[in-house]
Amino acid sequence: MMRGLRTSSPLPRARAILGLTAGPLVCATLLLPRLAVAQQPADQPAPSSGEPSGKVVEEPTPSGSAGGGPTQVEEDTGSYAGGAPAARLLQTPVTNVFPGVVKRKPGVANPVAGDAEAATRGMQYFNAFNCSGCHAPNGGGGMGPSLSNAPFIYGSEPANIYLSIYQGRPGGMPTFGGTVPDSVIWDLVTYIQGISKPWPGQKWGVTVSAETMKVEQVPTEFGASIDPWSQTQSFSHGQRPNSAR
Amino acid sequence: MAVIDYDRAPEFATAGYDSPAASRLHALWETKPGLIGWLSTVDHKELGVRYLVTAFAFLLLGGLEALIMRLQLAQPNEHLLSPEQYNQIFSMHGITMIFLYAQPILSGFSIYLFPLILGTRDMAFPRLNAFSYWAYLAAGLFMYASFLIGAAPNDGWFNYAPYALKQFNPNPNMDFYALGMILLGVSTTAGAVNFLVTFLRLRAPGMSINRVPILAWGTTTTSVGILLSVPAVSLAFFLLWLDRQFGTHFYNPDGQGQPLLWQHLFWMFAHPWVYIIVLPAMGIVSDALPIFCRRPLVGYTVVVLATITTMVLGFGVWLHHMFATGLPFLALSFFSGASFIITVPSAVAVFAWIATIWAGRPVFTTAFLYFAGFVSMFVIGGVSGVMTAAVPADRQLTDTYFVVAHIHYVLIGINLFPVLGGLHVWFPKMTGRMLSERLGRWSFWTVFIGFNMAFLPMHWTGLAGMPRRIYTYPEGMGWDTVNLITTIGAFVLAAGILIFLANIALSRRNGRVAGPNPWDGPTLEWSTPSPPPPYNFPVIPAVASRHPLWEDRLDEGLGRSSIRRGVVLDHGKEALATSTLDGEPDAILKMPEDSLSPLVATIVMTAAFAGLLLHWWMFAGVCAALLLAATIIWLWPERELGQRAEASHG
Amino acid sequence: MTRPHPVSNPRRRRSRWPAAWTAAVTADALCSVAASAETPLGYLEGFGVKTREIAHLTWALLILSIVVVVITSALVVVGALLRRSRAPVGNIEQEPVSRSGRGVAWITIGVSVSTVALIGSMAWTAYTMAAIRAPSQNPAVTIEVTGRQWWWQVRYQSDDPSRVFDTANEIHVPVGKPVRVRVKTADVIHSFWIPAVSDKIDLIPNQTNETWFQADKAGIYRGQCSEYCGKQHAHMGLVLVAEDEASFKAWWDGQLTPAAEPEKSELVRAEGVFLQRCGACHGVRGTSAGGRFGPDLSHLMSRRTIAAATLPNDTGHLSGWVADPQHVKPGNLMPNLGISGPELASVQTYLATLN
Repeated sequence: MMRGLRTSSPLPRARAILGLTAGPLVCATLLLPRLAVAQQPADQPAPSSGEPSGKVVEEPTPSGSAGGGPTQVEEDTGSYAGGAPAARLLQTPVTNVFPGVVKRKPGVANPVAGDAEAATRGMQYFNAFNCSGCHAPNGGGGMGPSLSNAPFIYGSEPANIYLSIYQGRPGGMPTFGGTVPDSVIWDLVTYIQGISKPWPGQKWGVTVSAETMKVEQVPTEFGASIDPWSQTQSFSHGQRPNSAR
Repeated sequence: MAVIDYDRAPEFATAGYDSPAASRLHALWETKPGLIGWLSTVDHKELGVRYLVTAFAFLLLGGLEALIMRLQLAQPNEHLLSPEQYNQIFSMHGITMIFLYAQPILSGFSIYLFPLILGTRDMAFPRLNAFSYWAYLAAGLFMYASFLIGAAPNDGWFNYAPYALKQFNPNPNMDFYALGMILLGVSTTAGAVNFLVTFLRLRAPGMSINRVPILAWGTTTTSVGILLSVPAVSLAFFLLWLDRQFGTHFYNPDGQGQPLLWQHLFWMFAHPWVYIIVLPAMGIVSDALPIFCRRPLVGYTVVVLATITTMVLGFGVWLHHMFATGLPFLALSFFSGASFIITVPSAVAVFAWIATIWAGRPVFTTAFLYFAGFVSMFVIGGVSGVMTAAVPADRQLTDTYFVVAHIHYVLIGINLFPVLGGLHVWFPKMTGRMLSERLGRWSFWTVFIGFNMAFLPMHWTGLAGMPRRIYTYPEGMGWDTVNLITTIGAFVLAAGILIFLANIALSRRNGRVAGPNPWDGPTLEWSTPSPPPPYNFPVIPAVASRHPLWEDRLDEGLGRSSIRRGVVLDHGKEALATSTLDGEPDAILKMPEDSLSPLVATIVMTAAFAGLLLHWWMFAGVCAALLLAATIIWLWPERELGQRAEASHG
Repeated sequence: MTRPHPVSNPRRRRSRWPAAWTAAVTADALCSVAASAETPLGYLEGFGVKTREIAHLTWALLILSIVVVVITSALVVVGALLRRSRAPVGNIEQEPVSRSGRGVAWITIGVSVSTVALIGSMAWTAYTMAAIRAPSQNPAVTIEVTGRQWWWQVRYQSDDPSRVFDTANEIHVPVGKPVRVRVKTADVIHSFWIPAVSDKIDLIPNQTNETWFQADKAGIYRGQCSEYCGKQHAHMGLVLVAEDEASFKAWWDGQLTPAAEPEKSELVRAEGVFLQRCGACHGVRGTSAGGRFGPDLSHLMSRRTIAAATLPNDTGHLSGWVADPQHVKPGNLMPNLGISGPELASVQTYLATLN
């Protein structure tokens, strides 16, 4: 009666479709724990922690035993450094000039580099700890040097920026090490690296002219972003910002 | 080469399914065999089944997500999921169920049934039909691809700004959602256009507007709703995507944007959407319940009017999702009143079904059980909605599990129950085999008991203050026991669905063979063999009432439908167009051949969206140009449409 | 050929209907057993002027809803059973098709009754909306609440600027007097909700919403953020203490008192550790700790809970929180400090003095 009726069987195709859609979900369920964990703020942001410093969940005894000696706090350097051995931090070069031709790489890397949420947190910290009070929102600079379009005079590697924040710098940069945890400083480093853009044509011994600065950031009140260089306008030479309406 | 004369007066003939005319039509309409045929088919029955299977697969995925959530919430302070994982899973559960299951499964029914119940050969735009399916599948895969990088949407299906913006959600979670929804919107809009034009133009002769089955009314009404609301939400998502990529501030409060704008735009779409996902299901019940009550539906006209009224009023109540946002008193009063009023058309439908049961002689098939259960669940969902329509009460109930209970009663009760019942009704038509009644009863009772065990206590949990969208809850709130009961009920419900799937799997091979009309139904689809041949009807039938196959027995009026004698359209792939209100034959329509254009267009369109997601702008631009080229190829006038009568694909 | 389809025993099948309804009713009964347990966030009983009216309305609508559900479900069940056909499921043609009776009356009567009930509900709703719209007298206290991910910043306003102060996560109000609450947010949308005394009001960026409530009964009430706001939405609660006028004024005066200057050497040392490790984010009135990133810790020990009503405020929980906040509230904005045991002890010592 039905000539050549193609009785299409949806079942094998159903299985195929099910596999197509369920397969990724199964993979994701396996991947999810690892990936989701990566998005949480790092517990111990130090790149390598040799010392057992850090979180201690034991319940402290009442205040009577708190008196362990007046030097207790200052000597406990392990926890301040967050575990990165002092030697490694010392090996971070602050300049691009080396004797001979062998360049030294910094000994410490940013443990939260590439984490988009780290930059977001860094922006929150930048405003919360009043970095914008001296460096201006988005790091435009003011009382403190610009962080967004000027050379970093103490070095622009992540470890350099980390140490600048941690140790403070002459001329008014406060010491934040020990006051804020390491993870906060690394988040700030991630954010600052995101907003910084090297001076175009920056080379040792080359004079830079303002003509090379074609664009500048849109002022922050017209758009807050963890990547302020995504919103630019033509260089206004310090006149009224072009975005002002 | 003979060119078909589309301006001719068509011939009349008497022909059955084993006539020479039928063989000729079979050769004309048959899909090419093999993989190319499978990829290029435009046969609405094939596509309808694909929609059903894909939507069911998404139902299972969404259900899996729900079960994981329920495990996490079974006891206080559980650690099965981290907060971020839970947030992604509950968001994807909502997105999957509401967008990737609830509307597509009803589309599946409608795509399969529209031509059969309206008495024509295919939908108005068969290639667009294929395109809407492929785009739906692509959008679903696109959104689920986010799981592969652990960046599934995590702001709920409602996606409130500013949490959805870049400064709070820097990972691409929301980009998957925004772009995926725009892609899905293309599919949905294409489908809506197809339904609307088919309803208006492709009915059988004599099928005046008041003889159309209510499933068609429901789907067409929602298609109009889709055309008005989906493009708007696609735009809203596009604005969100712009905010996230380019620092515009439509919703961004940092740049004087308005987070409330997102809420308004989204709910202006999403509230009509919830009617879009239930009105066709109500149409399924309105068409199928009378079969098992052995009499036509009570109050056909008022039910149709109620369907239309619900959809229209559905555009005027969106603010009831925002009662707590600090709106002016007058706005609150108006929308509260409108939300109360929208209950009335639903009450009309409910009493129409109750009347049909009382005035009929119900036979307790599994499908009837599903439909009877549906009426009860409908009322429960409806009254909990009435409770939230009252602004002061809503300001306590909103964002608690009371609303979760309400939405699951309306979604599972008004969408899933008719779907499961509808599958029992039309599975024989689609596959030629009956589903097992014994397994069907087992699945019904398991689903019914599991569903009520899971969601009836949720009303209480909500009244006890348990908020929504929390990944865990502390002890001492009084919610512990009830959450455990809910979790158990959810697993029972899942077991019921599994029994249903087993029923389908077993019955495909071993079910009782079904004839054309196993349920003795009244409408045109029951006059075709099971499964119907590719051309549906050897001659275009003419109808004289709402229930052509029951006319002799009801014996009301003088007219009789003519099913075996009618217009013969076998000079090529042709269909008959009729006038909108009265169903008078109007024109002969050319129907396209199988084509790969819809698939190719979908692939390049999805590639373009992927490029936008990954910020590969050049690539996206190239794909957009390719999409334009594919569309032109698709629409290019075909010499083949002047095909000879004897063309075949042997 | 069709297989003979076994017809199950109708008697056995009919008995399944009551079984299912019994199951549903049992679930409900279990609920009422559970309902006798304490539900701090429940609102079916109102302890404030607004929530009492709302609770009446909610109960009325709830009872009406249950009645409607029972009646319609009974109609469905009874109708199906009464009118049930004798035709077997496998041979449905045995039951003839016929159209009889005036079914439309069902619709007319049903919709009319429903409409009357709806109009009654609308009237009661309108009455309640008017009743809770404004307080009967001028508010005695104005509080400004700023929602942050995931805690509540509270500022008590006063005409006298010297009496304005900040606190966090715990609100005290006088019993029997209306309180005005102005809500803002510093980041995403939150919702301020204390079910026993106040309905919800959303906190929208760039917008200050205003609401009021009045507690009628002294007690400690719990609140909760009710708009999804991110990872720790689940743990953003707050505590409301409603007390008599005298206690409230004493509390206010106590909050204004700056932290005492430590005299004993170990307390000086402890304060030093606190200022260094905590002062950048937290503030304590009377010390040089002026951080505004985290909750204000002045008079921390006077609060009943910490971490936005997530943990009780006692030594063990407080130390555990300071040592590892990410364990308690993963994803929250207080990072792990990498604090050592002796430092933790110092911080704990100092915090214990913040009464």
